[in-house]
Amino acid sequence: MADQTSEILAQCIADIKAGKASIEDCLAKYSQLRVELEPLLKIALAIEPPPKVTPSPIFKTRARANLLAKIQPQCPVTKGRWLRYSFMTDLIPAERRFKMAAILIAIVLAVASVGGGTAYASQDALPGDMLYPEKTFIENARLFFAFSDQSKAETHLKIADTRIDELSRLPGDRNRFIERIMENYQYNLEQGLDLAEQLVEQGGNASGLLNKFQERITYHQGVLNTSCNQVQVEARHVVQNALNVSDQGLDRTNRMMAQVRMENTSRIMAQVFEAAQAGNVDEVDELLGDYDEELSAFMEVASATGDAEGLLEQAREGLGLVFQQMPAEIPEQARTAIENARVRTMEGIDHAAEAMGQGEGLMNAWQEFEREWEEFMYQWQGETAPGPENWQYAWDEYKQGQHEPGSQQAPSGDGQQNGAGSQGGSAH
Amino acid sequence: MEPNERVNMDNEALWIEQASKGNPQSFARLYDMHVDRIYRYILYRVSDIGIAEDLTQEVFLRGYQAIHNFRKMRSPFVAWLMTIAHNLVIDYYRSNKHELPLEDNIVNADSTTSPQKIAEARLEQQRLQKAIRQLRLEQQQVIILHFIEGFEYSEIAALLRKTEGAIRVIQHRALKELRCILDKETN
Repeated sequence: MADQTSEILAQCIADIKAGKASIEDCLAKYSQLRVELEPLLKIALAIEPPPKVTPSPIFKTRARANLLAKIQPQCPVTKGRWLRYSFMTDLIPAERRFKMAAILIAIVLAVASVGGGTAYASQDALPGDMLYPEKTFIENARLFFAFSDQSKAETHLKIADTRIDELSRLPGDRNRFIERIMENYQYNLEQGLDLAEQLVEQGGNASGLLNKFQERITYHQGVLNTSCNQVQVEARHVVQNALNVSDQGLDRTNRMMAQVRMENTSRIMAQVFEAAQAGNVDEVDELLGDYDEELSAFMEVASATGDAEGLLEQAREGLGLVFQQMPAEIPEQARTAIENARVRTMEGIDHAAEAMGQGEGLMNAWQEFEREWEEFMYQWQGETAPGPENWQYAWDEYKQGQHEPGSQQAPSGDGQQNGAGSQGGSAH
Repeated sequence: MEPNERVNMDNEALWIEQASKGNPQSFARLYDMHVDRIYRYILYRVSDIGIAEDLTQEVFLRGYQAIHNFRKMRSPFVAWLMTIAHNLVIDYYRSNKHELPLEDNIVNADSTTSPQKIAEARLEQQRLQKAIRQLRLEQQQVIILHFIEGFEYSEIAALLRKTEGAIRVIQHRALKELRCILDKETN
């Protein structure tokens, strides 16, 4: 009943306010509720909004200024980002860094020589310049004529590079263009990454492309950080947004690189199995060296993502399945080396996952494990190493501190010593 | 919907989108658009200009910090701001248990109205306002949003996450409660 009266009351209020009925009309229509409705309708209709109540203009202006001061984005501290970058460069061997620098110089020279032509006269144009529309037209034309996903992705990355260059050269009186520049930067970066993702999903060779993305985005972040502190306060949030997008872009790139590295380890292990079946033990050793390198590279790039634990879990599952495919009929020496790699991989992943659970970094944990494994392997120098099935047992014993160097070795599964003469896993 | 109103709605949607991406200037535009209504809503509840000003500033600051949550809702943006205002008013009353004096300048009137009429209207509104402030918080909110701010039941329902029927029931009970309060005062 209360609900029904509530509905009638609400309807009467609406009708009276809309001029469709008077109080008396409503009371006549719902005469059985007259006693209850009449006072309530009178009160309801007496409630009026207070007219012309507005805050003072002084308050509005002051409150607006206060609000803006409090919500204005703060630029990140540049040092933190570059520290992260310098940590990553430290991980790259000096020789590789030199090669990368040489490639970069070659790219710069190539671009400079092409830029001499009249067709590229607009390349230095900035938003607001007369030649700027021509510049963007040429960019679109390049995109149009880029046929493969890889070249399209590279072109988008190059355009994103150009926007960053424009931001760094934009004079102070053209701040109004920053929003458009940054929007276009974000668009091209995301488009390029989408295409790279497609390439990775299709199993294409995306390593080179992803390296480019990683290098360029890291560079973009440096420029964006500097610009964020230099642009007018009103434009700061736009640069901050672009920084967030580039951060996400770098994370996406690292995840893709991790995926590629993981697939590479699986591919190499398949080659190991083929070589083992062919009885080519030397090739098995060589390929297991490549496998180790690729696995370490996977750990390095996974550690730079925001989901290192998830990637470790995927690696554990994926590589576990790969090792299950080991052919039955292969030489014992090869089997010993492959089993060594299997135990090393699984134990290493478990160690890293456990250490990460305790707040340690993935790379630290992985390097710690590698040192420990090296020490474990050192014990078998000059002695007969465990046989194919006994690496797990030997490692477990070593971990429990039961094994003393040179004193004993792990028993084989059938209770016999393994005398294959192998020094264990691959020779590295 | 009037063309100007449509333009404002479109602009508002754009500014909300931009503000939720961290654009303070867009949020400042939303502030310009709604500050009067939020201020009025709070002033009606607290009847003190200084407190209304402080709380109005706080509403917009909290609104900016929580604007991502708004996108999931289907109520008007200003109504969402009013729920923030409502919560701040509740907090205010919890930490200031004494009742506040009524401000004389809340009720203004047209300059052509006679002084006697102005005085009567002021007294009547003050009486009603005082009675509304004695209602339960949820009832206050429904009465103010519907009668003072002119929101539809559907909008209030979306905002308070209740059915329209429940809002009409709350309104009914609130009016009955108001009647009791006003009767007691008269007697």
